[in-house]
Amino acid sequence: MATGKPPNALLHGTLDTLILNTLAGGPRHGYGIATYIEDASGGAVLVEDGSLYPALYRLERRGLLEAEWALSELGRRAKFYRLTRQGRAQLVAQTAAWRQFSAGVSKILLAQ
Amino acid sequence: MKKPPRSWFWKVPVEQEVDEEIAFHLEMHTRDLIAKGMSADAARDAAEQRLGDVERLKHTCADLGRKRDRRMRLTQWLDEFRDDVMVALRRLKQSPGFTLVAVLTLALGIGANSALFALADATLLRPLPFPEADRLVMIHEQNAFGSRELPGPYEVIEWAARNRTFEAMTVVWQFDRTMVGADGTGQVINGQQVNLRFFEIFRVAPIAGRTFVAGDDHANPDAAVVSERLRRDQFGSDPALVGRRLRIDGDTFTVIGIVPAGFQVLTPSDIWTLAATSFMRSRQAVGHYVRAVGRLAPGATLDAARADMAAVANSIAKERPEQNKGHGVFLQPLRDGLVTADLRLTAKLLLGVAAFVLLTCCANVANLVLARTSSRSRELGVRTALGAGAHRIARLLLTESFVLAALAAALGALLGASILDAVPALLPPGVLPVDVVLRFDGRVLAFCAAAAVALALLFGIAPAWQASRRPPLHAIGSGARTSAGAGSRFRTVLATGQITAAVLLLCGAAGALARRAGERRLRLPSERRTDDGDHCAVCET
Repeated sequence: MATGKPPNALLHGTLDTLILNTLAGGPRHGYGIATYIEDASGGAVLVEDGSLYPALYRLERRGLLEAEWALSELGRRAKFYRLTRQGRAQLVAQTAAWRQFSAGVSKILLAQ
Repeated sequence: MKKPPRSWFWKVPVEQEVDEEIAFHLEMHTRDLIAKGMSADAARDAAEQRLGDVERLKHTCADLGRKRDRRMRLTQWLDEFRDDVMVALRRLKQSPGFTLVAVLTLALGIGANSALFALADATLLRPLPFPEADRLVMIHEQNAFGSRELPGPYEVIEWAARNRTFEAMTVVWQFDRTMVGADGTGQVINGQQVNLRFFEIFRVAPIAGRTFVAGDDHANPDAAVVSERLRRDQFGSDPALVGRRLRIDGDTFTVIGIVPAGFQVLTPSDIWTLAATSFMRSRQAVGHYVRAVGRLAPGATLDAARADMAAVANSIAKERPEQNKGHGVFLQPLRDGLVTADLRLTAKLLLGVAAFVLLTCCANVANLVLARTSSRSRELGVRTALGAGAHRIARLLLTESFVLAALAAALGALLGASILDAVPALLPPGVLPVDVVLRFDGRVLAFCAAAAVALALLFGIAPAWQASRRPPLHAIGSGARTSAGAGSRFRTVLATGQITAAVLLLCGAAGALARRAGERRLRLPSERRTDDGDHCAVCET
C-alpha cells in the first residue's frame, strides 16, 4: 500500500461490489479488505480509507454483511466482516451487471 | 480465529466499536509501512493522512452504525414475533377443543359488539351524510305553553323571508300517493312536498336533468324530481325519464331531474314536488303539519340564529297577536332532530349491554387460558430451565392470546357483517330514521381490531404474568399435578353455558328495546302516519 500514488477514483457503487467480492473468499477485517483489493488489482485500484468504513457500515445495515469481533492474526481484537446469504446473491447479480457494462464500454472505447 | 460470545459485540456502544476499528486500522497500516522501511513517526503520519479527517469519519460511521442497530433490533423483533406466532399456532392446533371454545366465545362477543358499534356509530358518532351537515338546523314552533310543535307552511314562508341568519329554509311534507306505473298499474310511492331551495339546502346534485330553480313555482308548478331508485324499480332505469309526464292520483307531473338513490331525509321519499306555494302563502294554511329545515348562512352560529328567530317570532306575534301571541321558535341541529333522544338512549343501552357481554366472554376465556397455563406449567418450566427468560415466556403466552383474539376478530367481523345484513329486516319499521344507514365498513373493522387487542391484553396478561413469576424447578416438579381432563372439561362446559346465557340476554334486551322504541314512536303525534295531509292538519290544530 504505497502512499505516493495518486488515488484513482472508483466508479460509483464499484467499491461495494469489490468489498463483497473480497469477502467471498472468507472473513476479513477492514484493513485486510483494503490491502487485498490493492494487491489483487496489482496496485491499480486504490481504496480510500475514508470511504471504505462508511461503505462497510452501509453494507452491514443493508444486511449484505455481518460483523463479528475476533482475534486477528497478530493476536489483537478486530472486527471481522463476512458475507451473508443476501450479500452473496448481491455479488452474483453485481458481477453479471459489471460484465455486461464493461463489455459495452470496451466495445466503444476499443473500437478503433 | 477464536470467536468471543456474540452477545459481547452487541453490548459495545457504537462509538466504541468505531473507535476500536479505526485504531486497529491505523495500527496495522503503520506496522506495514514500518516493515517497508519507514521510520515509526513518518509511518504513523502517513497512515493518519491516508485516513483523512478521522473525527468526521468516526462520526459518519457511528451514525450509520446506529441506523444499522435499529434495523437489526427491528428484524430480530420481527423474527421472534414470527417464531412466537408459529409456536402459538402449533400449540393451539394441539388443543383444538380449547381453541374452538375460546375463539367461538370471543367471536360471539366481538360479532355482537361490532354490529352494535355500527348502530352507535351511525346514530351517535358519524355526521349526517350531507355536506357541511353541522349547518343544517331543524326548526320547530314553540306554542304558548312552551311545548314544541310542527309549524304551518305559511309560518315557514314568513320565517324564511324575515330572518337574517339562514341561507335558506324549506318545508318538508311527507305524502303517500298512488302513481300510475310504466305498466299502467297503480303503485303506492312515498314522496315529499318541498320548497324551491330544498335540494340546495342538502347540497344534492342531480345525476340527470336538474333540481328546482327559482321561478319553477310559477312557471313549472308540476315539476317533479325523482330518485334513481324510482327510475330503476318502476321505469327499468329508463335513460329518457327526464321530461316524461307522471300521473299521480289524478295530477300530472313532469320529471325534471333525477337524484341519487341514497339521498333520503326525514321520511322515505322517491319523488319530490313543489309545495303548492299559492296555498301555502294563504292565511288559510294555518294547519301545523309540515317540518321545517334550514341551512345556516356561512358564519352564523346556532345561538345567533336562535336570537334572530326569537326576534322574528316576536315581531310576527306583535303583528298578529290573535294567532301568534306567545309563540316562539325552537331550533336544534338537524342531527338531534333526526336521531331522537330515544334512539340515542337505545343505542347507548345496547352498547352497554354488549360491552357487558364482551366482558363476560373475556372473563370466561381468561379462565380457560389460566386453566390451560397451569396445566402447561411443566412445559413452561422446561422452557425456563432451557434458558428462556421470564420476559420471553410472558411474550410467548401473550402472543398466543393475541393469535386467539385475532382469529376471533376475523370470525367476529364475519358474524357482525351478517348480523348487520339481517337487522333491517328484523327491526320494526320506523325504529331507524331513513337517514341512519347501518353499514359494515372500515370503521367497524377497525373497531373489531381494537376490540381484539383490548381483549387479548385483558385475558392474556394475567396468565402471562403468573407464568413468568413461576420458579422453573418448582414448575417441573409440579408436572405430576397437571390438571385432570375432567376438570378442564367442566370449565369448558361452564364457560359455554355462561356464553349462551349472555347471548340470550343480549338478544332479549335488544328485542325489548327495539319494541319499546317502536311503541314510543307510534305514540308521538308528530310521527302519526295518515294517508291524507289535510286530515292530519285538521287533527293537529
